[in-house]
Amino acid sequence: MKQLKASVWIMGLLALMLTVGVLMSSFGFWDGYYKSPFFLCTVIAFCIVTLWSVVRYPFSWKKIGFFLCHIGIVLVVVCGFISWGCLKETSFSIPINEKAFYGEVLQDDGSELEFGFEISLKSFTVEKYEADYRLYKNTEMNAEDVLIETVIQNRRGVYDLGEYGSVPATLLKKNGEYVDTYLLNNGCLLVKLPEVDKSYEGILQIRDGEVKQVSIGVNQPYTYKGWKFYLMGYDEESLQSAHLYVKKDPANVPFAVGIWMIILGTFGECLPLVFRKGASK
Amino acid sequence: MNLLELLATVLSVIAVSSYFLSGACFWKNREWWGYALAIVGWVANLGIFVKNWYINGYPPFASMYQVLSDISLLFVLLMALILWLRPEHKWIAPYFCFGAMVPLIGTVFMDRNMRWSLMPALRSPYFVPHVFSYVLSYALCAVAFLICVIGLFQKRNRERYEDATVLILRIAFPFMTLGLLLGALWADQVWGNYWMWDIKEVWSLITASLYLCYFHARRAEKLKKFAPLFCILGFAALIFTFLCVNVLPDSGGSMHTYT
Repeated sequence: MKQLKASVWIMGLLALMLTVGVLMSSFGFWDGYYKSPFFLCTVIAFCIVTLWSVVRYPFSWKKIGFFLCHIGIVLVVVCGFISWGCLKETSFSIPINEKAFYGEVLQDDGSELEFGFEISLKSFTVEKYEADYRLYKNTEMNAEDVLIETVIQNRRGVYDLGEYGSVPATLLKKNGEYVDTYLLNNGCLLVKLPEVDKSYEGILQIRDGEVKQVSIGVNQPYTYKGWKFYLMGYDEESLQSAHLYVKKDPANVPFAVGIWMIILGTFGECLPLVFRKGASK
Repeated sequence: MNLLELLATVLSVIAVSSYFLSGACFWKNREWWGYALAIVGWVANLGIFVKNWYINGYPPFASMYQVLSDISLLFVLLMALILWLRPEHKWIAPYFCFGAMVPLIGTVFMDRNMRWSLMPALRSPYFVPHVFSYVLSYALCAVAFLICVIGLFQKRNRERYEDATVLILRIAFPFMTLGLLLGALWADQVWGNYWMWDIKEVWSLITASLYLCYFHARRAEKLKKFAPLFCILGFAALIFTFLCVNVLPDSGGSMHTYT
């Protein structure tokens, strides 16, 4: 029972400190709050209490959910600390050129980060959403003053202009591209809005003895020899380079294992009690 | 207003009225009428869900309007699940029906015409399970909060309210955890970090911590009387996470500004 009481106190304290931290960072008072000694000490105390609960509780397969989620929490916190101390990371731009190989990149502090192999970005493609348009009435006047509809979207191949009718998307396309402006028979004008990215991806080449080609995209990082490459963006004006983020984090995989332990443990701990009559008492 | 939007408004009105009448029937122990009206409301609500999916071309979990419509849709299903698992708790049915009304009433006043172009980061297999888990847990937490607060004012049968609250939260909490942690796994896939100390992330962690306090306090003899307090604080944090984070001054820098 002592552990339960201590758990409530430490979790309550942690919730309170998180609330203070989030309010302070929201109002721009203290950005380094989460790295401050007293916050870190609270997290460590939370970890110790959690571990204490596990050690004091007699093991039983029926309570596997309890053990999974508590050990998972400790694992996640420990991995967080390992990441903090051992993480190697940097963001950089890379030209879209299959012959421009890089084996090292500069970090924010000016030092060089060496991969132990070389990379280049062979190609890059961007897929856009169907264009949205803005509707103006009576184009002889100052268009800004007679804006009718801010955003008109392509819905299933048709731009619905309400009382001004509708325009099939095929009419707005020339050589596969949406036209910038389109004058309607009733004198109204459709003006194209900036197109929005749907997705983008590139082909990353890795030269480590032989050259290997892999696809990299948003939500699709690529890991090689412990280095994880992320496609973060690209130069929208020239389309000549892309922005990558790379990290080497020894705690990356154990962190994910900890997360799954917490998820499975929480389901294992809570749901069986829902099916058991009288368990809530 | 085009035909689809007019249809959505009509469906919203039908769903809200049916949920209200269903709750009233359950309250007056007219169970069969309650079930029938709940089904009518749910079918109308499902129509809104299908319309949102049809218009957008992706599962409707992206904007506040879509998520509120989804929350309402889940209340009736969750009520059916709980009544199937624990028929002795059928007295909680009105809370689910009235609970289903509230988010839908909110959607009537929102911009239904808005279609979101999902940004590349949101086009992920984690998108639907992350949001769905949260939506499901939020719906349940809302009902648990109502029952917990009403229970505090009961002189008799208080235990019945406490049992119902913990039963509902035991279903809600694993899904809340799933939503939070799938978000972390997704963040590692897209931004390269499991945890960024983003405002919305931290508020979600605060919410989960408070519900954890609730579960632990319930089992600690001397702290049991504080358990309802943690349930109430947890729900307050949940509301803040869901609706109010965007009003904080620095929320513009949040990774969750699109929510």
